[in-house]
Amino acid sequence: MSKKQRLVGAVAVLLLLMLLLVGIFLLPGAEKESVQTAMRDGVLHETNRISLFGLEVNPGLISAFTVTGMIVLFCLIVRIFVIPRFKEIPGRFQLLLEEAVGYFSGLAKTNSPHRNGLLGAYLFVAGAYTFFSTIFELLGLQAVTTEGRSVTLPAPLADINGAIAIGVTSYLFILISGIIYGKARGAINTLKDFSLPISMSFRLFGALLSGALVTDLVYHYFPLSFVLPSLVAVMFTLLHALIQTYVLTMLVSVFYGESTEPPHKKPKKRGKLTASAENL
Amino acid sequence: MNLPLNIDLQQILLHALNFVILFAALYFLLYKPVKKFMDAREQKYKDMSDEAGKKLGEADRAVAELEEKLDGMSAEAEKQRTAILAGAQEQAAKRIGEANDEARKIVEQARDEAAAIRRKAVSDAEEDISRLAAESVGKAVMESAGKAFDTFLDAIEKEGKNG
Repeated sequence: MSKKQRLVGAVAVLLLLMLLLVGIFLLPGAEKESVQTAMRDGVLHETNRISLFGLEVNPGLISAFTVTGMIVLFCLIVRIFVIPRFKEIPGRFQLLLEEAVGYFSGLAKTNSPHRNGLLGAYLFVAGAYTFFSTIFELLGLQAVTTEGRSVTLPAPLADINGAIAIGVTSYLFILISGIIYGKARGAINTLKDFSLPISMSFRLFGALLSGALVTDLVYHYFPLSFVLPSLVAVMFTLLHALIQTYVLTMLVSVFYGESTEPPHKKPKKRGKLTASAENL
Repeated sequence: MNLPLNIDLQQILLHALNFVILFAALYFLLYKPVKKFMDAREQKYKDMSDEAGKKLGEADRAVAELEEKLDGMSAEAEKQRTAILAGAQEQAAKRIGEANDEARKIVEQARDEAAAIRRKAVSDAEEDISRLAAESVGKAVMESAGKAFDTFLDAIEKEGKNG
């Protein structure tokens, strides 16, 4: 790079910074809600509700349907255009898909070696949903509330209803599989962990909500919200998307493995006389 | 029913429905076909591996059989060699025996012939000696007889002259 080019680059960066500073401090800001209102709404979604075919719902539900729509569309394209052209020696994208399927299938086999056919599929779907619904908030898609305000669609699992749905669905999946494969013993095994759906739901909700709240706080108080927090938010969102995916799928696979585990056959007790006779 | 934290059963069910739809779509559109492809490929390579293992086993068995045959052939060859050697030794012993017999016969024959020649020579010599002796005697006799006759004749002649 020549000296002239470096000079031009430095001038451009300085100009951009000056424009940003002018924009931040001199232009009048929009009317903002208080941080308490923003936090409360972030947790409870009481005020900003969106109409779904006449039904007032939380923005999280709209996010959930949007994420599902996007994933299904992506899968449809992959199914039609990519999968029929799969090669024995995979390319990059095929390798990515195979790695994802292979990872969850392997996780199912590791934690539930006796029954894992459907578990692999469940883990794959739950993992994909958790991951993509978490990074969905990075898109910053907007929706219009019933009050005519614009809100950014949050991660579906940051809505407690979404987190409870996943937690309870996972628990029911484990319970039903336990009843089918482990009979009464499997059902008892699952039922004794009655706190599982609650812990799963609130852990997911808490983990995702905390990230959203911290980001909201940063956006609220720091004027350079579009420079520093955006970088940090992307980094943390990706990180906790991976962590939540891993934790959820790991928990489901471990509990599934426990509930569907076949009973261990105990060796038959021999009569005392037989044992004594053998000892003789 | 007002639940805390704005928990709404209807929305929970809608979220669950959304998840079920996603599960069905992801399972049939992505997971199942990819897994099927992976399993088919794995099965193919497993079959190839099994086939290779089978062929390797067959090759091992063939090698073992060949080695066994080779061992058998070596044993057979050793047996045959021993038999041939024994036969050859027997043959050689037989021939040596025959040769010895032949030699003995030849020696005996030679000895007999030598004895016969010796006997003949002795007999011839005896005959010669006898003949020579007879001739000598004859000659001596003749000489002495001749002299006596000559003397007689001379005496006769003398007597005739005197007479």
